[in-house]
Amino acid sequence: MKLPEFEYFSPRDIPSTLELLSIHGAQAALLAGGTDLLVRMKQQLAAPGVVINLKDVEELKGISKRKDNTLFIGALTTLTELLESPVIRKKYPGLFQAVEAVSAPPLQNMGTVGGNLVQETRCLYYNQTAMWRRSKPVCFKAGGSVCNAVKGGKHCFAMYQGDLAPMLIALNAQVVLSRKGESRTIPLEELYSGKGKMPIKKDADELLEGVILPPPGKNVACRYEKLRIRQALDYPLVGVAVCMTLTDDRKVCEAGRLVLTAVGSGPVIADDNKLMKKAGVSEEWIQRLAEAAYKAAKPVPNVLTPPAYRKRMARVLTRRAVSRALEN
Amino acid sequence: MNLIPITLLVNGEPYNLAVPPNKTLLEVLREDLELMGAKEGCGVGACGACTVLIDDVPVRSCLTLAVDVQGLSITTVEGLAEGQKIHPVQEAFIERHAIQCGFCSSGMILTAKAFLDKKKRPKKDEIKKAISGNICRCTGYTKIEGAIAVAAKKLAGKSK
Repeated sequence: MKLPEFEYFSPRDIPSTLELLSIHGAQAALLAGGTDLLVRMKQQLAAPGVVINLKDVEELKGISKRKDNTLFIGALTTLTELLESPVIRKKYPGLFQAVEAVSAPPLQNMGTVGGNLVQETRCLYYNQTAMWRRSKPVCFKAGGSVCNAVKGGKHCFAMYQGDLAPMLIALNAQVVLSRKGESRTIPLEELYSGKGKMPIKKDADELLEGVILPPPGKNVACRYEKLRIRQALDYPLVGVAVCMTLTDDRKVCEAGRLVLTAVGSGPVIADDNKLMKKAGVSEEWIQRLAEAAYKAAKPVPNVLTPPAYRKRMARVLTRRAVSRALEN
Repeated sequence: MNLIPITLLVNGEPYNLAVPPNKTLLEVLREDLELMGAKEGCGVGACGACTVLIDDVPVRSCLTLAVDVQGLSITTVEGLAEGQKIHPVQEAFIERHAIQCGFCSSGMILTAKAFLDKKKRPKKDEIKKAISGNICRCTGYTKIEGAIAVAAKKLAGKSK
């Protein structure tokens, strides 16, 4: 499969990248690892007139501890670099699990943190070659007016299938978005619209510079569980990320978040410090969290596994994630 | 589209080329350099048949722009032999019949080679994980895993 033609820029620093974005933003695509963008371009799902390659922007790479003990992960840091980082492995083991669950090692060598977070939503009837798609009506995501996955659907149900976002949201991560002359820092969950057609709330002239992780707390227990058919390469069919701050005796969950992926058009926060606030740890409590995940999960028939099964698996994986987080 | 001049270091040989920015490394290797070892399987990064090593790290050449690897060291399966002597990983693949149609083999061998450069005494699970991004549709994976274990022993013997 051939890539379509485009105008190519390869800036060397952030200011010149922002300058290029201020000029070409609306028709430009930012290229990092290429494992999402180049595939969509080959399948004629994206046809940017301009491609801005970020790989020479050294400032966007690497992991650094900041003065306030937070951790900054540059958007161009590869997933392999995260797996090889002792800080991630030791201080953020939940994030390590989520990164390890992405695809397979050769793609982890290419894929970046920023690219993983802003990856497009996906659908069995959309992420196909142009020839394949010609056998079906043009769907909402491709600019048409039907949904090929949900009969009678009035909007796009394409699914967000990132593995990192749910864990980073559970960890209360923030992201830094910059445009020429200004920069904003927002909680990661605000990057997602929850809409299948336009899932990422980043303006065309904005650059995702990186992720800020809060300091690794004492007694924080995290876990990521992922359902997939093959244990490598596959996107999640359901993903569950949980992070809890426990008391010293681990009998009470002081605070926490439970976040799901691949059961909606964005990451889904199933519990935001409500059931998980000052809660006594018990089997019954874990079951309540699992029910909350079951309710929040809204899968539709846009992958090969049936939605009813995936909804039930959101419950099973939540039970598993919370129990395993408590064990460690 | 404008052509962009690049220098690629492929299997130790420098090549000066002018390529359009939408040309992938795989297309340059096969069409311009006539190195047919890397294959186009799926074309979208899912199968691993196009695997090459960039600075000794396995990547998908079908999802790598040629302009993006300017000056980097690229190894294809053609670059593994030393003179007439094939690489121990290649020997092991032949001895253990870990090849059937051969379409995945160059990617498998390069992935295995990069893995064994880092891991001298791999466990079975580690071998499985290392090649989990490469798909074989003929032999199944048992013979391939076995070949990599044999290759690890060969390489250990060689370094003694």
